[in-house]
Amino acid sequence: MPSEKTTTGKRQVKQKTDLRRFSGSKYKITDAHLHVLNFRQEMQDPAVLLRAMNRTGVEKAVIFGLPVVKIWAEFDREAPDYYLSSDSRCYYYSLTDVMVHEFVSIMPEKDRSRFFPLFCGFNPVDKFAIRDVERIYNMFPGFWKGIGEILLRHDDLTALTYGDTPRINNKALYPIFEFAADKDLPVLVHHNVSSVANPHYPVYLFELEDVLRDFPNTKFVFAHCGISRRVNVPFYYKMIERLLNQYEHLYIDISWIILDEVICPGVTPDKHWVNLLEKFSNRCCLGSDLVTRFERLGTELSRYDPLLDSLSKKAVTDICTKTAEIIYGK
Amino acid sequence: MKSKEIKISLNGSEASIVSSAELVAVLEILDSNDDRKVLNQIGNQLNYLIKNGKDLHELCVMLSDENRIKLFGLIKDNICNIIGNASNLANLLALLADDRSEKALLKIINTKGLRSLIKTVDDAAIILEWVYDSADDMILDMAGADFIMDKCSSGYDVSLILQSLNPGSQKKFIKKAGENNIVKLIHNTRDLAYILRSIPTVVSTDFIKRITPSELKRIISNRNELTKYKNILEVKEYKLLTAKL
Repeated sequence: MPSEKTTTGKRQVKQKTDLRRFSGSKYKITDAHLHVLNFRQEMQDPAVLLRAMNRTGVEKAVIFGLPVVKIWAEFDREAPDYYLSSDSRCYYYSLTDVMVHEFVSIMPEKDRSRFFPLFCGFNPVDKFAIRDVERIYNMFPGFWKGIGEILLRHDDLTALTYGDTPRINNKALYPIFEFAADKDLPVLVHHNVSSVANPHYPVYLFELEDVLRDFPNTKFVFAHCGISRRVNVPFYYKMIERLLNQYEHLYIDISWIILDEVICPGVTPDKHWVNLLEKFSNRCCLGSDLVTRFERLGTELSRYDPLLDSLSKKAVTDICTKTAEIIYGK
Repeated sequence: MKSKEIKISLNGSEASIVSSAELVAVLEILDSNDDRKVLNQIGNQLNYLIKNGKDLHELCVMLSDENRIKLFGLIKDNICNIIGNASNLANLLALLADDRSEKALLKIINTKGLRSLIKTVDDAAIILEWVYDSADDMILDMAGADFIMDKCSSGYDVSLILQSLNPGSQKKFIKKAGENNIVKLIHNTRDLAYILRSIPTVVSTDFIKRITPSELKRIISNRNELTKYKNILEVKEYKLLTAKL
């Protein structure tokens, strides 16, 4: 997920000024991946998000907190504001979900229906986690539209988080996936397909497939298609295409660095990805992956325009709004 | 949310912003050659957008050195209120790195502003930590050695200042503050040891030579005390001290 301090893509020293990007994409988009709390579990005024959504033509957004909080360690002179801001560790923080509820509750009533809130504040390596899931789900009946973003294999963040390594096929998560199927809640998961030192081979893909195989009735959304900083295996589009063909209950979100690093590393989008997204447009949605910093919504979402320009009208509608509505809108 | 909207117009496109964070978002999508045009358009209204040191820091991250200097000029009347505290000033100085923009910022802050930001010896030390060479001297000259010494109540405090200075500036500071005044603040062996360790041997040996034997006996009550701090003293320093006791 993007640092709060920097843009997803680096600022181009010589880039063409296009002030329109501040007003977002030229396409109507549902932001399907937006953190309303940061790694300090601080919440921005919802009015700032509403202003940004109104400016950028984002009608709806899938929102959630962060399951972990960064420690302000004794050795940190300054309070860290991102998980990579210092070497201090992170720990699981259940209050994040209550704060997401608060975030929605304090905004004007007419705007609340614009949000699909998800919950994520449980420890994915604790077999008691299902207790916490049931508790938060029942605490705010009818409020939640899904579970996520569950942070599982996530390179540096995994290393910095206390406890066992979180992975999608940890048995502690199995009752949660059953619960999700039972309640028809989609599950948004961040699960790197590989490790930093294995860019040639998706070493953790089998863990995802274990779960996709064992939970055919649970709707999974594969955040950023399993990519992360320094994680980019060859033939990515082929791998994603196979997964989408094989598992009908799998969806993907295009967010964070996958656009810059895989789909559109140059000026024009990769034709294989264009074909893939055209074919599976009803299984794909788009997200800013902002971690608060809502002012940057237009900047983030307008990055997708070159990709969207190369897709058919139907695919654009699916990817920009319809798929998210189908996944989260029930 | 009732906020004053400020309009920016470039190449036929317009954007309205209400906060420094929105200005940062706009700068992200500009050719950096257009940054100056935007700063000029907003002008003094930057004082309305930039609320605190964090806002200012984030804007500076986006701007070139020349445009940072321009920005400081546009908010000069309010810059100390915006920066707020020494820690924020230190963060800014750490970011600037470029000598010209550091000095431009310090010049705009001026003596009165700098003194208002330095409330403790830690404040002075953290500001000095992030400037180098002639900017060290500039801060010492602006704040004044007397003002900084007033914040110090022990030799250890003085050591915090000295360790943030380059050797040339250390000598100047010791001279301006007055060796006798510094020695008066050295209450015990620990104070002395930390002062000596905050300066290189070339400066420390001179410093030791100028401490009178009676002053040294006041500071170091017995040789055992000195032995406790032997590990943080240079051999040459230790020998000089024991010879004087």
